[in-house]
Amino acid sequence: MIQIKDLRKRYPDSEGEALKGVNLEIAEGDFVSLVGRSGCGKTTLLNIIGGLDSVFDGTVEVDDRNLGTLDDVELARYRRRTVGFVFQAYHLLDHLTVAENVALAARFGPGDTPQPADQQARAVEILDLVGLPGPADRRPTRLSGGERQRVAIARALFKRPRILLLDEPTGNLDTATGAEILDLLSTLHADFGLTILAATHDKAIEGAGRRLLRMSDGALTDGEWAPP
Amino acid sequence: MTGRGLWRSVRDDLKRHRRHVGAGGLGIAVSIAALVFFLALGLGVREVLLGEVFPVDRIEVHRPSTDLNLLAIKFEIGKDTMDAATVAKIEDIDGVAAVYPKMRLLIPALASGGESLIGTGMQTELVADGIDPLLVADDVGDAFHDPRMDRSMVGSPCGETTICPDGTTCVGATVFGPGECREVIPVIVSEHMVELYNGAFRRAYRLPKVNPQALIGLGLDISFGASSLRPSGRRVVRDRVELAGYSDAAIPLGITMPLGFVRRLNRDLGPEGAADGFHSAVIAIDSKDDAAGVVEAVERLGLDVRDGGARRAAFFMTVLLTTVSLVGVVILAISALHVMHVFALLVMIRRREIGVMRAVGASRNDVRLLLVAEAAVVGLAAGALGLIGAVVLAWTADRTLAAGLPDFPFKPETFFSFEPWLVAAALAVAVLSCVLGALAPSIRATNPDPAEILSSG
Repeated sequence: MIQIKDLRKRYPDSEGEALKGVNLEIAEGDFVSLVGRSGCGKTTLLNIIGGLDSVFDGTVEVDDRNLGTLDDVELARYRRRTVGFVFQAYHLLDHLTVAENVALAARFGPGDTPQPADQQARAVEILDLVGLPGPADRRPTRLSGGERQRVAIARALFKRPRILLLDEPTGNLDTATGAEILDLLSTLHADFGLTILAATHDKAIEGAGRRLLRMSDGALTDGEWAPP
Repeated sequence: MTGRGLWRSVRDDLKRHRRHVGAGGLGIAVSIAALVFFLALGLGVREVLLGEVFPVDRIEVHRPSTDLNLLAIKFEIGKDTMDAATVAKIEDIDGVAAVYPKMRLLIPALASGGESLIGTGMQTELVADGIDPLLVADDVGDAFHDPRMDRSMVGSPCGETTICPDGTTCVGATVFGPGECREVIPVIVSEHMVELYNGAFRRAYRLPKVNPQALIGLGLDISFGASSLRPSGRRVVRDRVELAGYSDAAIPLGITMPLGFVRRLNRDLGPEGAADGFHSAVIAIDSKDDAAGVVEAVERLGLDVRDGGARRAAFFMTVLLTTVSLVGVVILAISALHVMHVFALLVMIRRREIGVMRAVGASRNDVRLLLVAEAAVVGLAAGALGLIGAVVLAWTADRTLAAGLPDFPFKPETFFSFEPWLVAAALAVAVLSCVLGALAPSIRATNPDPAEILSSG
């Protein structure tokens, strides 16, 4: 499903490479945990796979589409339809309600929910799915960290993506809340067959993934199957 | 981006950033108010100046003569008339609606009559010219026309003592032979002639004051070719004319006859070539805006504009409107920079939001469209506000001027003209300046990839 060959990335202000020839294949339905120290290139790798960063060398193919050849509109459509991205900092928009945050992508392409009422209904449905049945009309500022992360996951799932990318999904959460999010991810993976790639420091997520990849200094150093 | 999504985003964002966009919009509103106020004032003054004081929808042009001064005498060098080809060239000038040539009567003439009006007969040398009746159709209707235009018609023979049927007169009868009964020629005069008579002339000669309207229908006998100053040595043709009305287009001192009639008199009784040249031409202009261009074009043909006031007024208005427009453009440019600054600030504040929108599936153009649409809405609202401000300012100025200025000729009810195109242009300019102001910041904000925006936001 995801094929990465000799992926290299250099930031303009940086002397060294952030990614140094990464090669990786991820099959459909995989739950991959990507671990490594801060600054090792995990977020950069996720950004490139997620279509958030289009400047790189090498080949990144998702469903046989080479992301390096897509123009801005095609890349936007890819971000809207194929991948869902969950940020460590949630990145919810405080001026919108929870439901509006979840349905934000619909403003840029209606897909199967062209009517605002349908979008609201779908947002509520997904919020319910991620264990947040109540606060659709509240502002994100009124929610706890765990609730915000659930909203961020709901937003990523709104367009029914086949790939879910998570950057430190439990990084800002306490242990108990982190465990709940982990349960949610496991459920989404098991029930919907989502391909999940989660960059994390969290030992619990390391264990939750069916496949563990280690990264160090811009390169994949080790990969192993996690216990079933 | 979907239309519904765009509208929802624009509405939400403007509501949220109302203080910032309000500040930017206010600058545009003030600029539009100033621009529209001064342009409406310029247009209003122009309307009075060019429409009433110096009407430039019609200008009169002539070919200036070159004179050689020798003591008290000026010797003319070259022709001071224009031919039919020149008239045709004038007709081809952009902005010219019609050309009405004028021709002076180039033979002496004596007018006599007036017994019915002042009790005693008068005889006077007559100055006359001929104009196209269409030129004065608005003033005197079809009463002024050339009744003998159809040369194939022949009147019944008559002698010097014959009484012709009503509306006709015996033309051309002499002791040597008969004439023929033909239609009386209608003429027009300038109202200034009557004013002159009622002013100094009647007082000097102790004559009664006359009512101009009562003079319409007054007949005069004319001896074309005759003169009391010196023997003309020409054939004299006796004829009769009748006053058909008044017009500013008539010769200031004398009578004005139909052009065709004067041309025939010049041809039959005047020197060689007297019927070939026109002494001036009245040019009807499509629009007052074309006046300056038409004046320039006729001057290139070697002609002069007879009414210098109109020419100066047209030039003055062109300069005034250009200056006002330039000032307005400068004000607007400053406001657009202000808007650019406001939107740059807004974009900076909204950097993370833009990154999130991009991350969930907005393209660069989606976000640019959103920001530009917000600017357009701000511009539209600011333009409307500016227009309202300009109207209120104009109303206040009109009231103040009405109370403060003494009555003077052509004092208008309003000094402002809010023409529909001005309103539409003001709204368009307001929207455009806001959109242009927002364009650069929106492009700058959306150029980086979402990852870069979010990592720096």
